Amino acid sequence: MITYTLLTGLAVIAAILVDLAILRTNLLKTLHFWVFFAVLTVMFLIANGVLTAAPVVLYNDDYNLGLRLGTIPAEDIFYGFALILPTLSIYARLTRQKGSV
Amino acid sequence: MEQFVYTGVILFIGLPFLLKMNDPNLPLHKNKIQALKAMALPALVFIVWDILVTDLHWSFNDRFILGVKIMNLPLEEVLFFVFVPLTSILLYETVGYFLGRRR
Repeated sequence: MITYTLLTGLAVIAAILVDLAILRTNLLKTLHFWVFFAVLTVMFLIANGVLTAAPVVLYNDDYNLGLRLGTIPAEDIFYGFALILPTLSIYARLTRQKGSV
Repeated sequence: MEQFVYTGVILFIGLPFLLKMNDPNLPLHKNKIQALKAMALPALVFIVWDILVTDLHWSFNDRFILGVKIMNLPLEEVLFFVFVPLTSILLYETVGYFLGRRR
């Protein structure tokens, strides 16, 4: 069955491949990225806490692990990682070519 | 007022970018086109993913959204994929600034 857990796992693998193998921006090997991701996770927990507590978004637990941080599905943390790492890799590549970052 | 809950979350996420994108201490102020390009492809992938699984893996509570839908996604959800990446770029550069990496 195609679940949220499965799709998120695939997206995380794709994100890692983009950074380390495809664009070779290697952000994952930097302290800069991990400090950023720690701060992002705090902001994310606030925003997503509101979205899942209201709830604005209702999750169908037939398609996730059912593990929650408060009201937030565990998959959401990895979902955010998979969205943002490729964004930063592409940005790093685009700006590095320009020689300005 | 309930229908503005998701809008409020989007403002919370997007305001740092809107307020600080021209900060001269951050490379972003001269890389905004690159930031928009970097946001676009991952956002598109995640929006398509979202369209395919909405009402299956998750759904949206009509009480807390404006009710404007794009391909069955709330407008706020589409804006989520615009502003989360943009504010993340701002945050990434802000962290870089405080780490002293002002290349």
